[in-house]
Amino acid sequence: MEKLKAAFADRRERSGFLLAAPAFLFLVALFIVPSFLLFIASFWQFDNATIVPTFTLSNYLEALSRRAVLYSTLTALKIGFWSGLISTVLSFPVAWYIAFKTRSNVLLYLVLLSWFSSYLVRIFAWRTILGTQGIINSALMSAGLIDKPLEFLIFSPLAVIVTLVHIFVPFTLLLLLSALRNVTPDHLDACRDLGGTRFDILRKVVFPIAYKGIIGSFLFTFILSAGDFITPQLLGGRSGMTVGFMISNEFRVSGNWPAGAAMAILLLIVFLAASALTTRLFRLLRLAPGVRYHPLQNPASASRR
Amino acid sequence: MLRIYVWGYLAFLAFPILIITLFAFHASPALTFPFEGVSLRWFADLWADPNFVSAFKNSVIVATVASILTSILGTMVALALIRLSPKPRAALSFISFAPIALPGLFIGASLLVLFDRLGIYRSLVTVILAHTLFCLPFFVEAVRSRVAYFDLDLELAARDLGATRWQAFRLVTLPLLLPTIIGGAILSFALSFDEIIITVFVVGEQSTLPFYILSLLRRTVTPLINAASVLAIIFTLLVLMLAGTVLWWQARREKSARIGEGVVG
Amino acid sequence: MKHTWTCEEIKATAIGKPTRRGLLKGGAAAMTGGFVAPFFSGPAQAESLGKMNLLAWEGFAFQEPLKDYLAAKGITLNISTIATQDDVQARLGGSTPTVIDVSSYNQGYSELYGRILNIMQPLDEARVPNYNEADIFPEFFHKPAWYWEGKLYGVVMGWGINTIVYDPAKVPEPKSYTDLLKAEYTGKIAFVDDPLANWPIFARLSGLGAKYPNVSKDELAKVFEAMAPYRDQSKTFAASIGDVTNLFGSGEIAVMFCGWSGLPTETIKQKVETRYVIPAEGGAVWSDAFFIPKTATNLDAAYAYIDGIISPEAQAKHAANTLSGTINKKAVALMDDATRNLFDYNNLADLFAKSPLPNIPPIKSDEFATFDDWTKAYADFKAGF
Repeated sequence: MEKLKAAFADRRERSGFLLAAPAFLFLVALFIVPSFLLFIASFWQFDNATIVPTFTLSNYLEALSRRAVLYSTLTALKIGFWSGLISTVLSFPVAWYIAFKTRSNVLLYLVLLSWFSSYLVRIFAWRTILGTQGIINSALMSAGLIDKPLEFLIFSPLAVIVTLVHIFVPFTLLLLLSALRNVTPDHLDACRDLGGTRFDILRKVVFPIAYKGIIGSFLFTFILSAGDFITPQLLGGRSGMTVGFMISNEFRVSGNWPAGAAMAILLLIVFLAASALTTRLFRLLRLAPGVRYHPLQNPASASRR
Repeated sequence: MLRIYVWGYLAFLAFPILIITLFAFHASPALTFPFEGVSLRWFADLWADPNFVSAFKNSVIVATVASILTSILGTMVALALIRLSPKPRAALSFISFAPIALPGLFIGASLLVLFDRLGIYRSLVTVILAHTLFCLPFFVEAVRSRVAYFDLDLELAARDLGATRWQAFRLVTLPLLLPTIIGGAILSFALSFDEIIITVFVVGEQSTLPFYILSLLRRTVTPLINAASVLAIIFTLLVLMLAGTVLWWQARREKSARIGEGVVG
Repeated sequence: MKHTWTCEEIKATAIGKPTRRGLLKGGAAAMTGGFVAPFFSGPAQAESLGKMNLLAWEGFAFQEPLKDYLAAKGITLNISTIATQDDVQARLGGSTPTVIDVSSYNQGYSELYGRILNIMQPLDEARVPNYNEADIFPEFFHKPAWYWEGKLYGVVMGWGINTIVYDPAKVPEPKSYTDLLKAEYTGKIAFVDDPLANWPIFARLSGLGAKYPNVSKDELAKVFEAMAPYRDQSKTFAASIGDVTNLFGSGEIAVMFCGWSGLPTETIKQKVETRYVIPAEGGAVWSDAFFIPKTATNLDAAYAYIDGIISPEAQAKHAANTLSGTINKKAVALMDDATRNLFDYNNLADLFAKSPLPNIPPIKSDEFATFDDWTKAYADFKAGF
């Protein structure tokens, strides 16, 4: 058996490459190449309503010099941060419940059901709920708790964040759940046997094993929310202009692809920095394993008890 | 305590959807209370609108093809991930996750530039390609944790017993992974069916359902959009139930087949 | 003279219950319809021109006025809707435009579409017989925005005024744009995100109306500076006319800053009566023309469609449906009084001399702020600067 295994190891690796090939080619053709093209396009010139492929840095200089770009990027980051944080925090206990307290997946399916309602229509449903004459304001007023509508509920960052949380919460749940499933009941028992408190379990067992999923679900919601431009436009009121809207405007309205591309590349850099920062922060808080040990470098072999 | 919280969480998710469904049956064109009676007029209007019917059909086509493509590519990636040695594995997992580490509009814009440079006209095909790109990372993420627990030794044992590589895959690997793959496929279908941020960049003259809804919003916002959404929910539920039934039926058949073999052996 | 519709009239038009007057006129229209019967060919002559891709404003696709005509010609419309004029070049520009058989453009875009992006094809006038010197008002016949180098490129299908629409139940009638700066309007105003409606008015409010669309870069900065107080008064930038309708319907806003004067026909369906008002500073005139893009494949249907739209019957119905103006002299007789009185058809020359149809800012210029400069400044304005 051992000999056979060794013989297969080599072929296994080769079959791995073969299996990866189609997706790899697909991703190179539709992701790497286009991203590279976008990068190149960000140095082109937009002149007389046409795109001239000559090298210029003016797109970057202009994007960086416009206060509106900076401001709308900050708006986007703020919206993304809160949506990411709230979605992750809200979903964590539910993921915990599904992973450890109940054996059935019914709950998960119920949550995922919300996916099947249209994103655009949900934005308008939130208008009905949060509006000046909406459900919440009407309810509070008829209960006599307030005597004029709460203005901050709609056309504010709050409305945008609530809606985005509603849209992304199922995704965070799924990511958290798949991370928590790496924590086996044995891990928990072991910790308990060693006299660990509940908090210890969370901090010393669950976080170090599931940290990738936790960071992942935060970053994922953060990036998608910060890149969204339709929800802020429809619910954000005067603060509804995010950098995503400006980028899509350059592409779809002005036809100034180079300017849009430069802004997209800048945004990408901001996101990469934010991702690095989050991972860093987790390490600093000692919620993630340090560099010295990586127990789950290979989950497949680690799980083979 | 936790239970109450979970119910609250579900209520938060369900509430807007109940509102959407409620107003889909609203007799008046307003999306605000007071509720003025029940009517099916919006469904009738939708049904009579050839643009809705074709957009719906297009969305079904796009989501179906995209989810099939995603499942094939994604399953192969997941299987490759457990076979590769650490370095290529890290590279593969990076490149297959990267597309969703970027906002959708980045993908949309870069694909727009690509299609323009290659002279590819925007059509449902470009939408399908874009959606496959968008769904693939989700699929891989959803499937890989399950695949990670898959024991390659099982496949090895099958080979040891004289099965060809394909037989080992078909008789051992696939049945074990199928529920996960189907779960991932349904996820991809749902993602594609509702995608709009990337779609606006790559759509041609044939629109998809979300794009149709976006057009409706431009003149007037009426329960028509709610009715469209409710129909989409009903449709996807039917697809899900169908998939569930097939799965259950297959599981039963396999179980009885295995029992049958056991008796013979 | 210009006539503001009463709520009752608007309601009647929108809900489709014709007033007695309208009914009589409708009868007259039906008779005229019989008179031009060969045009509306019966089932015996039914053609099958097939599917046609139309890229147009919602409500400006003429499905309702052309229902029978399209059925007789066997034309099925595949409609894509635009939210701003720029959606058209988004679909038709670049090296891989989409296949569109008919689309529309605002007069200001003729240079961009016709000469720079080069996305339009010249029309064969013989195939649009309804477009003839006898029937079309001279202001719309062979004028530079639609006709150049001896060729016809665009056929105007409607025109009107962009102005303030307000909810009389919530706020007093604004007599001028400066009224909107008063406290009773604070937080009740929505801009609609349509540059064509906003830019000429912005220029006018900052005292540069006469110069628009040719203002210097310094002046451009002043335009948006002058608009900052209006922005601070507003609640939101609505994404489209549909969005504004929803905002009126849910009581979020009481004023639309400047936009389609036909909006009251939409809000009344949501039980909110609004009115349009032309303030002291005046409104902004607009016109939309259909054109055939170079990517068109179904030319037969495209020509038949355009010709149908400028027929007197379709024009009269469309004008009533959307509170807009017609280009066909014969359509005026088919209108009910309210629609006819929207504009002074006996003095169109006067009207367009006073408020000429504006151009968009120059695409390329060393002297003046360009279209791109305006777009950027407008985006900055929306973001709060």
